[in-house]
Amino acid sequence: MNKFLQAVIGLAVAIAPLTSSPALAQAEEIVIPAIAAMSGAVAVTGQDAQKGIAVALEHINADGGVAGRPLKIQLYDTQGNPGVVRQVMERLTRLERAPVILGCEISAGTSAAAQFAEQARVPYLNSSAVSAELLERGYKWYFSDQITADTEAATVVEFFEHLMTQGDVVPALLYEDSPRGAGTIERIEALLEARGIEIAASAPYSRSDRNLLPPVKRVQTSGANVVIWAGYTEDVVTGLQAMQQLDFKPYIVGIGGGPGDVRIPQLVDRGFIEDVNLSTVDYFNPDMDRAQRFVKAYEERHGIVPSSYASMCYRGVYTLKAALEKTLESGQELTTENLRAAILEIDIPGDQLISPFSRIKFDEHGRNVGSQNLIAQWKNGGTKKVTVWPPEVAVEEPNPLN
Amino acid sequence: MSVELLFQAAVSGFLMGGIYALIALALALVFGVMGVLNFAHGDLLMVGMYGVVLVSASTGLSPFLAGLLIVPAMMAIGWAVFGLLIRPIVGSAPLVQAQLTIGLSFVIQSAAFLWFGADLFNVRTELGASTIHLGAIVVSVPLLIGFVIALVASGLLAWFLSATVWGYRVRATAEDPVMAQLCGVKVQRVQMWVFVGATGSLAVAAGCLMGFYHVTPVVGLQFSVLSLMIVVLGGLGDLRGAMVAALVLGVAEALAGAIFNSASAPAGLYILFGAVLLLRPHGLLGRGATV
Repeated sequence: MNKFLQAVIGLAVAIAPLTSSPALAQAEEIVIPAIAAMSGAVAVTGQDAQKGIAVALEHINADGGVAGRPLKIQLYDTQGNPGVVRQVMERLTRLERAPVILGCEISAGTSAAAQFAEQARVPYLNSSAVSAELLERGYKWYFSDQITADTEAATVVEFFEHLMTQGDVVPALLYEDSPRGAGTIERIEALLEARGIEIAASAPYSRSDRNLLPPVKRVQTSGANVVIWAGYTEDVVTGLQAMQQLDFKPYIVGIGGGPGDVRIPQLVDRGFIEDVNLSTVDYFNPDMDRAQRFVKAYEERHGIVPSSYASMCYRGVYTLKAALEKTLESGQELTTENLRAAILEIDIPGDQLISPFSRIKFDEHGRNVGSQNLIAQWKNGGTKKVTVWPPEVAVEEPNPLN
Repeated sequence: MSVELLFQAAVSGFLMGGIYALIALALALVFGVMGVLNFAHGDLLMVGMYGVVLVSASTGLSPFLAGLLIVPAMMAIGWAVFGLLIRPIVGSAPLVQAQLTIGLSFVIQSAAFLWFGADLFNVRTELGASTIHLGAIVVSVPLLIGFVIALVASGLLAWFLSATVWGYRVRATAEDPVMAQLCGVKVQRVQMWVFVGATGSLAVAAGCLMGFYHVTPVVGLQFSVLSLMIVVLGGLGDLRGAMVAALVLGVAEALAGAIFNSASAPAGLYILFGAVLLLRPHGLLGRGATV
């Protein structure tokens, strides 16, 4: 499967009507590689990323390309497997001598990719993984325009404190024990403990668990009325069904792709979604004004509302474009050194982004100092995900505590 | 940890175990009759699960009925797979069989990715959230229905094998194919029908699962691993052993999650698996081939 899919994706993927004008068509194309999990257990992330990239390229090339040249992204499948990530990175840095690599990869794969990029001295621009630990390694060639587990945890606790103003709140933690889920939950746990808030139950589960009744029952019997839940779509669907069967209706504050997946209303009873005030900490929501051009184009092209996975790589391509443009406009070649310097110089204002970020500006650790989260909540009978937090970007008020 | 939590885990695990049994019996039967350990077993189940989704979506039928409806289609797939891939490797070295069936597994997964994408599909019915309360224990109705159907299907299989002429032929082929052939049993035909029937039974299991579960292109792998564990725990080729092992594994899986409160709980299953291999190398009931 691996080689077959890689070949298909390498040849056919990505993407994009490359020309919007004769002049652009004649200019030399800029081809930049990107990596994503197009197959394997987290393939949904890569496939959505591919769709987001396609729309970004459509927009960029329609708007004149990068310094007058058409942009193309060549997408490589990693299966979300760190071993495959290393193979792909070796090929891209040593054989194909890529000047920069765009990462639409989950945290485990990004860890391997960042390590490899550091050794090969090739800028790696992460737009997906939220691992904060990667930014603490002192890497010089790793940049992340994405939010981190720290910003997610801080947003959850702020929202939790908002709920505490409405009555007694008993929190419990329910999470899929991947580095992604566990990392954020650990930070939340520390923040809650620092505020003297007692956690009624902490229930981790494995992604391979087919039966989530036991961990959900554990949370229910703890007496919790707010569940902070980190999970992917598969386990969130199974877990919500378990909650419905147990007639357990806490206020759910979700983290990760699962609770906010745009497909949730098709997969779970919509009434129940609203009963549990299913909310999700996210870095994108389609109702934001600044995202409308992307949302409309995505719906036209793919027939569905874009997910957060799709948005992050759309944003990543624009960050990449800014760095490429800065390099070319200063008359420099697209080399690894020049692109690294350009990435450190870019400063994209928030109103030009589709994310709720204040800006994209990297510090010396490669962290985007302008990244921030929002909280979206399923409303209107579980049919519409509405931005409810923070108040500066909220479209509606969050539902009150049950 | 409360007793209530343990009972809840045991009950839901037992019901899951019943469905695991139907899935694993098909694998055990194929191994027993033709000596092929099919690593693509879970992927064939995944094909059935997608079939159930398609039929339910287009007809509005419950997943349980949809599963029954696609039995002929799954049998046809089984017939094609047997003729093209399995028949040539019957009697080959285990490594050859493993390589071929693992390759088949990858091909099926890739095809599912191409046709359905990576998205998750499930079948939503009015029964989806229905439950029965036994005191403090909650029993999911779809899971219970799946369990009952799986149990009936497994019972029918046992009856077929023990009370029909075709069943005698299957058992004779499993016991000694050469002697069975000398006695007039058309061994190759029996092997073909066993594979076809086993693949068809996966449609029923797929219907049972889709009452409460979901399908993605990679879901087959976990069921392949699970089925292989059950077949080995039960004793290679021992159907009754596989049935018991499936129930034990279902309960152990759920209890591990409830007791250890850790995502490493599934490791407990592998410890159990290793212990059985060491202490009962012929399976839980001691009647299977040597592992």
